[in-house]
Amino acid sequence: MQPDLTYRAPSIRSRLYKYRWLYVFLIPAIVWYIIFAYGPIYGLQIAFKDFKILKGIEGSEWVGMKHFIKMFKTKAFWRVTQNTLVISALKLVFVSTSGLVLALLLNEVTHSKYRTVVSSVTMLPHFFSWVVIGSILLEILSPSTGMVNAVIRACGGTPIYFLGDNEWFLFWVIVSDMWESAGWNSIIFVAAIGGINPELYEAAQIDGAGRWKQLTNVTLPCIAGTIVVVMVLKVGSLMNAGFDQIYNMYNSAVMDTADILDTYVYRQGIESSKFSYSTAVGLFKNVINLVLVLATNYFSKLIGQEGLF
Amino acid sequence: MKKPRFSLTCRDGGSVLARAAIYILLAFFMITVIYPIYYLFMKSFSTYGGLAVSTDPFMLTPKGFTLDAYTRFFTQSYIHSGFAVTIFRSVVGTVLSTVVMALAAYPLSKRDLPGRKLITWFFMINMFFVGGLIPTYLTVKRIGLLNNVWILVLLPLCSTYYILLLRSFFEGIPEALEEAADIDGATTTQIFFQVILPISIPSLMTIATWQFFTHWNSYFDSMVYITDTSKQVVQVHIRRLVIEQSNMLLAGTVVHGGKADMPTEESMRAAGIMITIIPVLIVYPFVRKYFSKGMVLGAVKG
Repeated sequence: MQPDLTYRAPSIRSRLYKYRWLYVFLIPAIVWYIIFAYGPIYGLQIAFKDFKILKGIEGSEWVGMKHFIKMFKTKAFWRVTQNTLVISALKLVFVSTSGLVLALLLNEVTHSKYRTVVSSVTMLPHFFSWVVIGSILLEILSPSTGMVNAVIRACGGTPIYFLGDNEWFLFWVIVSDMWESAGWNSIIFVAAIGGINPELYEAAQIDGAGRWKQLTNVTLPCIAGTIVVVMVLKVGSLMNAGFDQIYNMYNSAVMDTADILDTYVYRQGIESSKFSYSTAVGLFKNVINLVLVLATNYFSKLIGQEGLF
Repeated sequence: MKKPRFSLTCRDGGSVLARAAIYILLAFFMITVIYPIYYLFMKSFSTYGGLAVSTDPFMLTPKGFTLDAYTRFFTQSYIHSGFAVTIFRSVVGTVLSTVVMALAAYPLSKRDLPGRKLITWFFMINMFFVGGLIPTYLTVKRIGLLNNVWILVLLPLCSTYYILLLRSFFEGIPEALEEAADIDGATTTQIFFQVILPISIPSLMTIATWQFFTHWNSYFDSMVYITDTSKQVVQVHIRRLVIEQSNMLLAGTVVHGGKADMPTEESMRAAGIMITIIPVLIVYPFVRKYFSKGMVLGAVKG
């Protein structure tokens, strides 16, 4: 790309002069990144130190891998890692596909007004905070006053404390995440389907293909690339099980399945002030995350999709 | 392709029955979104919110009618200050962050800007590797912004993803437009403010509305970095009133209030939830179109 530009590109000095004000434009953002992005990265060193508030980051003593060794020996750490992977995997299977299914269903809606209404309404929960969604869940699922249990009671059953039961909790984590994000996740697939050449459908109809045949032979192959990219991205964030959601839904009764890496880091760090240990756990998570992102990016290039970078 | 008049097949080869089933399925999904909100809305007006559920679990109509829950909600301590902080961070945070990100994105859209690649990577590393909770906390502490509401504006100021989104938007503006202004003798700054910005309003609005909702819904940064209850955002108070309270009920640390005040408490919680989502419900229809556009813009770049 460079050669065809250079014939008209003036020297670096004249470009530096021409764009001098644009560098000024960049200053606020650069300052922000130095302070709020690279500052914390610099602070990561406390994972290898025994951080004491009074001694500060620089003054605290180096202790090598002490906190990591302690982490690997802690039972709770393995439990939260396992929980994180289980919740992420369940979301990968059920939640990501729900966006695709919704997009495919929307594609069958021929009335454009109805389609707009459905996509607007289903997208709405994405704009609620998890504090609100968690509150709504508590209200609706409450064993004493919740609607769901009132129905169960009316049918002669015994009320279930959904959010206090390990298995039910997982069920509601998945359902509420679907509820929150299916509409939003469908947008990207709707856009991909919208980009399919209509002539392909016409040709399929002339060949006598019904809607199901059109779906399996036209729509799905045409958006396969988008599906792969979305799935690959999800794999890249396998270590993020959704802090906001879990934090607003979990309680002491379901810690065995609900406690994830992010909530663990938060409790160890902010609530128990184990700064160095918590940073070590966070760093471990970040490194795995980075490896996953690099691997999935490599993989998506390998199968012929455009990588992220 | 002649079809009988009462065919069960649509023009595009779909079965009418299957299509009807899909319409109903989608309607059901919409009900699952609308109904819980409606349910809480009804509960918030009811005089005996919680107890009424046993007689009418679906709450299709309010049981009695009173605005008590709302007035009582606003007499709760810190609700006023909570809204003040939330509105402050949402408005100031959105404006500042959109301005800073647009200013950063425009230079990066110039392909012949010396150092363009370096600066882009300087921003992009943050997408893949971050310091995490505690190091960020210590940074905020070090610069003395703990317990200062400005941290709620400054911490989420830049997002590499949005900067790249804006950059790809600026790249899409025809160069002829700038060249014309250049020939007329306009400086780079003039071109940006008088030519580029006016035609970028829709894209900037996309980013701004998204930022606004993010700010409005944020609670975690406030919980971590703000220690004074009077400086907390409203979401934190909702959390305290609804979620933490019911978790305490579970743990048995507080005894549920007597029957007399229990119903109002139920309604008040419902009212609290409604008050935080009503602004979202009001703004949403007007800005909805921007979101799908922004997502697609990002998808194309993908």
